[in-house]
Amino acid sequence: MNFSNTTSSSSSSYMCPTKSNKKIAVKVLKSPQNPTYQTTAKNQDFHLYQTVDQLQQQQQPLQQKALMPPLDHATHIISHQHHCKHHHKHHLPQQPQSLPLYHQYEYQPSYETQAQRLSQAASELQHQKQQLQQELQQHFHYNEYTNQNSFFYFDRKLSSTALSSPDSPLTSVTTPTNQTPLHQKFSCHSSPQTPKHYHQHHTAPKCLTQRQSSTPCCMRSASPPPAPTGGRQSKATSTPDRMAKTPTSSLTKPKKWRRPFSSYHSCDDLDATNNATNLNKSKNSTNDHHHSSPHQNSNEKMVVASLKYLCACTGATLRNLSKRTKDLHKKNCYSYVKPTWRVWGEEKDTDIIYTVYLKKVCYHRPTPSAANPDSEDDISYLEWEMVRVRFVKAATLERLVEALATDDGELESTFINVFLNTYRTFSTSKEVLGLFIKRFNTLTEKQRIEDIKHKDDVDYDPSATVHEQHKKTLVSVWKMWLNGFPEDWNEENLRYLITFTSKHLPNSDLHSRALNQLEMILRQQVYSKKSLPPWLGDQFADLYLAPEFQRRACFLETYRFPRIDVRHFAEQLTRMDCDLFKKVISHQCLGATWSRRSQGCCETVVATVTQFNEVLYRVITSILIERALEPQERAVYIAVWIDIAQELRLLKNFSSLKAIVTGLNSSAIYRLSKIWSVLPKEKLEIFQELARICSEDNNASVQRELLIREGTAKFAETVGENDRHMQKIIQKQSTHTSHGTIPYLGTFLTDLTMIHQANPDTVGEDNLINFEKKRKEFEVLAKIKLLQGAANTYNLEEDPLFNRWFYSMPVLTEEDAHTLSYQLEPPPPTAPRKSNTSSNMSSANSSILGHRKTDSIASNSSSGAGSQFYCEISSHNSSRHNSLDREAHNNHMSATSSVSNLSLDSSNSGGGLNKSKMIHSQSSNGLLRSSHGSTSGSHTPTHVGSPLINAQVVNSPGANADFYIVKITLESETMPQDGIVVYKSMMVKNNERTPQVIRNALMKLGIEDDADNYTLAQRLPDKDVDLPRNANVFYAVVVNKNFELRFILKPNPERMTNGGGSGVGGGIHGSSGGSRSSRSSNS
Amino acid sequence: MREYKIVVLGSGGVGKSALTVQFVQGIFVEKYDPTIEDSYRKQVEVDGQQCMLEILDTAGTEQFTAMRDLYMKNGQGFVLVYSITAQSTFNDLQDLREQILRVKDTDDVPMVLVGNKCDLEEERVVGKELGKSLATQFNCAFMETSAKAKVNVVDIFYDLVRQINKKSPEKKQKKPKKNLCVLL
Repeated sequence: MNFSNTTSSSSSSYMCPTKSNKKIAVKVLKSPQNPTYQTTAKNQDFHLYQTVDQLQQQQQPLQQKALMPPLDHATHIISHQHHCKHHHKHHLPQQPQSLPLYHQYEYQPSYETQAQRLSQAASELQHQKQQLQQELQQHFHYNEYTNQNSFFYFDRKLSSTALSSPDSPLTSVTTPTNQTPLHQKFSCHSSPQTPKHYHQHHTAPKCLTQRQSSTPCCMRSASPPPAPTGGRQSKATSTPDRMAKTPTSSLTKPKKWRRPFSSYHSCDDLDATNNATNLNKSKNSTNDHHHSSPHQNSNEKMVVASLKYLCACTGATLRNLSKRTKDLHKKNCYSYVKPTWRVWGEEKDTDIIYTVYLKKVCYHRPTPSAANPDSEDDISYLEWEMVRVRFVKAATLERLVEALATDDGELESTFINVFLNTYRTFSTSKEVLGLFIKRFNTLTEKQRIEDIKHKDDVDYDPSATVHEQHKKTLVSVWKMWLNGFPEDWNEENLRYLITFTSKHLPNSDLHSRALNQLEMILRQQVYSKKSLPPWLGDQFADLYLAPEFQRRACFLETYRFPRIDVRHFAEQLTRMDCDLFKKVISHQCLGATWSRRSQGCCETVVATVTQFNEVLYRVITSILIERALEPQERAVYIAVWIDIAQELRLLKNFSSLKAIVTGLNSSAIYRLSKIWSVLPKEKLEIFQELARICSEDNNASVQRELLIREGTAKFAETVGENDRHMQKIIQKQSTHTSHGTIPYLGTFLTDLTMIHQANPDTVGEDNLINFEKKRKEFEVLAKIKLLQGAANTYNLEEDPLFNRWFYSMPVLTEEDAHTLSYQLEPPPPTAPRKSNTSSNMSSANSSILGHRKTDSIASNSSSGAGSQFYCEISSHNSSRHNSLDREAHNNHMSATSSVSNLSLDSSNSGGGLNKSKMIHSQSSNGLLRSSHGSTSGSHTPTHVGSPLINAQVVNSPGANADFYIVKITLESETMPQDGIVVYKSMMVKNNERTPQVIRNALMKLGIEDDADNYTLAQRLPDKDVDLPRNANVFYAVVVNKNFELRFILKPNPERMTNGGGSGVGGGIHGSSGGSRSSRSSNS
Repeated sequence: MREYKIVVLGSGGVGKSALTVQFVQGIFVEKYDPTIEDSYRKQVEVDGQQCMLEILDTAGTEQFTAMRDLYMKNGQGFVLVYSITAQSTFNDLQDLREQILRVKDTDDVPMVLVGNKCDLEEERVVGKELGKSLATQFNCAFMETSAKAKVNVVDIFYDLVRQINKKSPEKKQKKPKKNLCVLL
């Protein structure tokens, strides 16, 4: 009844897409007596041609048999489509654009007599029709509507006002209503064979159109009659004049497909007589119409709201499928339903633009319920209908907030989701909160005025007004916001909200929830002094503090890499990824936000990225790090990783899967042909199959496809045709436990970046917020959220032992990995890589172990964890890395970092005592530094104690021995004071003279200056030795195993022009470079 | 038709995605959808020959540093992008190039150095000369572009295609596709 109230004041009009509100939906009811019909109707889109004739034949007897012949509306439409396709041009030579079709049913000739009384009204309609057609011509594209599924529109909108005032049909036509409902529909119900049904169905359209709601009917059974709203209303308006409003939906009979009791008409055939006829029938049928069931109506609303949402999703998903994908689907017998959305046009209003779509909604056949023991014959239900859907395309922020509810105050769930997930790109939570409050106050004010207006009205129920409904909706949106996005609600916003709610909604759920959240935040502030935001705290506590590292007992046992349970490892990796993925705040992935990641606004996303890199580097490292392995032994490492990857595939963890596959495909590993050649062929094939999944080819289409298919599936189930091994494996997998899915986030990030880039933020001269863009972005976010939900299905226990293994595992940088790789298999002499012409790239072949480690770790782990963690990590790592240089064998990989020195001392014979000591001193040094900040004043002992291998000439087999790696720094006055010396590693080749080395060093340090302004000196433990201007540095340096090669650049005293090398801003590379970003290695 | 795999590399925020979108999409189109398979494919005619370019844009995944190796492995030609308004993005390229050469294991890799955002002249930090000298050092082509003002965008890709053609003339018998997807 609500509906009739709300609509009664708005005037009706015909559809004209640009300005007014409208119409539209064809509902097709299907009659159960005709089985053929049922099946064909389901597949309408596909089998139009095949079924039309057949249907016709069957239809005839059935209809004759019926007292009131059942109308096969679907058949009408089908036949119309047929008709249209073949005869369209013939029929509509003059108006090809007017494709919307109107149809109405003619049931009984006897009605026609009554029709004449309506001839005047009908002529008005004719006029309206012409208007409409003009509009349509402007707004439709011929092709779209002829070549694809035809759409049938009932183009009308009825209102009680218009209906009861027959004299003003034209007025009503020309009155656009701004307050358009988001969906209006016209539905037609076919009837089973009883007259009662016939009448009900027949009148249903009128009632439905009166509803300004987004609620099509779904399934319904014939009894009680389906017609939703107001029997009351129909009764009141069932006058002949009222009928004058319906003829738009009447249609002429088709020439070819005409049936005795029904016909369909296209709007171009529309004529007054037929209109009148149909109107008559409508009128008569209205008489029976009052047994509508309001409660059913509300049920329908709910169902349809959800349907709408689903369809929106489907629409999005389907759009993502490329042609190739569709072909594939066909091949695999996946049913592919064409999206049935069409753009209708655009609608403008103050500060807001809508895009209007027409959507076809199909319904399933209801099962006869036990409570309704009528024979099956009585069941008729809505087969499909056309729904007009209006989407906000662009608007001001204020209008967006208003659009959170439909015009009659219904919750717009899709819109709300889009809004809440994306508003941060065009506003702030504080501003939106302010607007919510403003909106609430406006509504309260409107309500007050309404109250005053109706104060004498006895029937007036203040709680039933639109405004009240709007307020309710607003508050529920508010709750969704509060619950769904805790990260928006800092103390300030919460206090703001609570101030408001305590005044206006003191007893509401919203108020108490806000209070709860505030309490939680305050509690957290008291109990944890961490600067981390609350939703991150535990995440990093788990990952980076890993307290079990420090516990003695844990040192005793750990995993030894190749001899492990691959399933367990895969599960543990998945567990880590899953924890991180579930914590991802999806809107931090948005292009606009993610591009500001350096400002620390995307911690949760960065954490997953870091984990990905960590896994990948560990794969590479584990394979390369043991130097004294035979290719066969090393192949075992690769095989184990392939096994893990395969398990990850079954667990649907595409993140770590991709990390492992990419790691194995990285050039350092991939180039080791000797090792790959001894890998069992089967493993190799599995690897290739897995690599296909992870391929970035064709815009990562395979990954996308898999995610679409398996995103929310329980098990891995999809394999490519050629993936024989995976097919077997997937068949064998145990299906006792189901899994979630962890996607590779990078694809989403790229998509969002691209969407952000390709779509403008604002539209038009008024700079309305481009909400269409937000919708697109939300499509991606929704996928992420969906998968996050699915990830809850994982049920994996944490294994501290695995954590220890993972975090104690050393990590090589890419350069180190390459150096090692080159040592294992020297590059073929046929394709020697010339050193760079300018030879200022020190890094190319230069890196020696132990050199550039710390920086990569620091940047890898710099994912937004508190800074105190960095220190700890880098100190751990430095000791770890140092240990790499030694010829240690098995132990160091499994040892935890802090214990590695000890274990090395005792077990390592290759490295020698000397080195162990060095490592000791360095690691202790690192710890010192992390605890005391700067102790570098006392660096001389470090020099002595930590020469490491830096000074060693690279003479391992396969590497060229004609260069040194040296550390170079710039002399500056500030250096001694702040105790941090920035060194860069660089290579000195045997053909380089001093000026060249200086140039290289300047380049390395990021200084743009003339080499002549500097002199070069070697720093020995006790003094600096200046190098002559034109010396060959390689031969001039003092090489001693006891100290590392350090050089210092000094401003040339003779050329002190302008302060020597003022370290230009870019001296230290930006951090975005990840592993190779700036390194400020401690001396 | 020969296929060319082109990888766009550079730090975050240099406008890689803008270049790609500008090139692939030309004018702004509402229907642009980055998630479909051929979002980044474009057919062009270079020197009278039809070429299919597939652009691999690393935008948004810069932080997946470990992925770069794979991008580089698959790419035939590289666009190294920096922003003329940010020195650090310029400096980062040195390492990127090193990595490319290492992965490709050759000194001769088709490559274009691109200084983007040249419409923001007033915010310029990296001089044109500096860019040129880096390009000389890299031994590759150099251009300053503006995705926003549509300056030189297409030229980047044409130049790369020519470089690739020059380096490895098409072998008629072999399907180009086969060259690209070697997994092992």
